[in-house]
Amino acid sequence: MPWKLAWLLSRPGKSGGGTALLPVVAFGLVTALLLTVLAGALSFLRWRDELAFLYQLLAVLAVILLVFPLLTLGGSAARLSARRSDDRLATLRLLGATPATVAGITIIESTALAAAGAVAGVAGHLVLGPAVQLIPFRGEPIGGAYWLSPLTVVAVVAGVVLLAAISAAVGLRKVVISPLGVRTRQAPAKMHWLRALIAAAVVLAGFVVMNAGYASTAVAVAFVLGAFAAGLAVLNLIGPWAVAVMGRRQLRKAGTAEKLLAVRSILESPKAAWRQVSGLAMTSFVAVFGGTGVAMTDGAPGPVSGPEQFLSGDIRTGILITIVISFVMVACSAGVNQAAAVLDRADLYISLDHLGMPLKTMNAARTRAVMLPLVLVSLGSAAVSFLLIFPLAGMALVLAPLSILTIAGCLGAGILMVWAGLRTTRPVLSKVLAAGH
Amino acid sequence: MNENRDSIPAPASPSASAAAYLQHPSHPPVLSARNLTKSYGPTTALAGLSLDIRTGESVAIMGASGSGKTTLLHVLAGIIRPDSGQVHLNLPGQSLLVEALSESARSRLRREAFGFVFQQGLLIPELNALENVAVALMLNGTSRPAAEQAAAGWLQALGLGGMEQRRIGELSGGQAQRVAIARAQVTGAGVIFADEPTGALDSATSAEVMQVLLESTIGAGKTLILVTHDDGVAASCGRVLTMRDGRLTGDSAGGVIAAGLAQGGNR
Ligand SMILES: Nc1ncnc2c1ncn2[C@@H]1O[C@H](COP(=O)(O)OP(=O)(O)OP(=O)(O)O)[C@@H](O)[C@H]1O
Ligand SMILES: [Mg+2]
Repeated sequence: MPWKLAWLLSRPGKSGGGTALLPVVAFGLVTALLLTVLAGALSFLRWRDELAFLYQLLAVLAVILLVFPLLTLGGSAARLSARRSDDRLATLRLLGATPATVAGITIIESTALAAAGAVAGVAGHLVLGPAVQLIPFRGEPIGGAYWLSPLTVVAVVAGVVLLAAISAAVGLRKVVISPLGVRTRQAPAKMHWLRALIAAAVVLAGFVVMNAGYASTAVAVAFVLGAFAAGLAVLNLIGPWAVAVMGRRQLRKAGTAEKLLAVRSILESPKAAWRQVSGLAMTSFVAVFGGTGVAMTDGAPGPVSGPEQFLSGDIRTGILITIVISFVMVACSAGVNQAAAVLDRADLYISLDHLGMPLKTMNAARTRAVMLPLVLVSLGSAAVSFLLIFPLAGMALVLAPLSILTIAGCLGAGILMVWAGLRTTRPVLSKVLAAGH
Repeated sequence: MNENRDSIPAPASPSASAAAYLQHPSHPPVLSARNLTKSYGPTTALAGLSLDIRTGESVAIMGASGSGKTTLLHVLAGIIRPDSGQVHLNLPGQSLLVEALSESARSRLRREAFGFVFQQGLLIPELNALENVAVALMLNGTSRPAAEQAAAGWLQALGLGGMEQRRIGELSGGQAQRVAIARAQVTGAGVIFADEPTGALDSATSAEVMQVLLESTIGAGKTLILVTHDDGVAASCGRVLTMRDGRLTGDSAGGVIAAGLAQGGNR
């Protein structure tokens, strides 16, 4: 019964095919990027010399950095696909379908969309292949080492589809338990200043440790890794709080309707606002951290031959790839989340349109609500990381300004990319409003 | 956007004499609809409907579900364009053909000259009561402090003093509806549209909200056009229209409450 209903419901409804396309595209991107990142990382396994371990370690770091935002994006896509069928499901419920049937349909539908996306993603991964194969590491292009075993590809596809099914089930439970009215009845979450205090203590400790003398290389490596982990922890602790503080300051200043709406929607859930852009915070943190290292080795006369000659260039390549992929994911997830939010609040948007709120104002408010934390977060985490390794970073800025500028340029381009991702959701709102006319 | 900033006046509550002048039979009706038709596919929502509404009138629109009440309201307010027919809007000093205006001009007309109250408040959940009302004014270019001051005045007047900082989720249905009434009027709009404004409330709360709505609109010389399923609510309006299948089937004088309010003059 659910299968048949799901099939019937999958025909284009009032909200149109556009909203089905979005999650498919998002799942496709997640799968393509996941496969490509994995392929790149696994290609490092072909080396067996003593430097190979360092490369593999860095690859694992990059994969960890990229997997979390990927999972977040997968979750958003699943929620969007679960949500887009809400209006039709409500009708079904009226017709007497049991909650279990309705749940079944939703899960089947989002799983089907995820499967379609994942298959498209595999195609995308294959298309990306020739370009990625050209990227040089250790002086030679990745080449044939790029290709994954079919089993790995199948496992990734299965993982993405499973993730979608689980997210849909979880998202559904949330919708069933707390419709919008219940959620908004509670006051917005307060962000405690203690977060900032703890974070400041960690940064201070890190600063002291980093600037102490090192007894041996092993201790130095341990310190650097420790500082890296501490930095990420600090970012997650301080992020939501910083977003909330910024929101409260902006709230007082907000002089126009769109500014007021944007700031209020950030303050509604600083944690959610943070989560949406946090992938970027981590990347931006790593970019300054790693970029400084690269700049330092660039500035200093390094080995001109042997396996070490490529190390700093390779790290820079890795950082740039990680930044670009992170931004693509944040841009996608911002787009998908915004599309879901518009569909969620279709009634409200239609009523605002009836009251005469210009479409321009609604779009400006939505864009601002993402861009404000985004800019804060990417600049803020770059600053935290800069502070942690201040003596080095300061020197790098003087000795090798070009490396640092490249990374700054990448961050700037990424911010633009997210903005573009938000722009793609404008037709969703226009369509919603057209349905109210 | 502001090339003809003054073409749509935002009337404050008109003085008693101005109201009397506008209500005079020789003055053109504030809204005048001619032969309106509107179909959705095979469904006819409006089937050649004509109607005049004078300034200061309170008009209740009744009829079975699907008879075209909401569609009529939306056509009169410039939210949707009719398939054929005209809606003339006559404001002091200017006369407009509503459906001839562009999308953005109608949007502006709605935020400057009209006020709306929906069945479910449809307030913005993350804003507090004060901000929800103030936003309507800010959209018209009023500064935030001035808008919030005016909004506070309206909330006070509608019995919501002290609740300015509450979020919408922290208000009862009746209180939220009063916030919506304040939002509809804070711009000084002269014509208020309400689509089943008490449809989601219990009868006691419904009566309270209706009284607030009537006093603040027709009690102040404004025009009120209201869709309702409730005979009691209709009885408080000066005129009751009945609709069936997209046509007017009845047009009668309503209860005495509205007449008393209108003669009682300004607040
Ligand atoms: N956007 C739309 N698309 C298709 N049909 C519509 C649309 N809006 C209204 N209709 C149809 O037009 C007719 C009149 O609808 P309308 O909403 O005006 O009725 P109503 O009198 O307000 O009903 P109710 O009392 O239930 O609110 C109905 O048959 C309705 O199904
Ligand atoms: Mg209706």
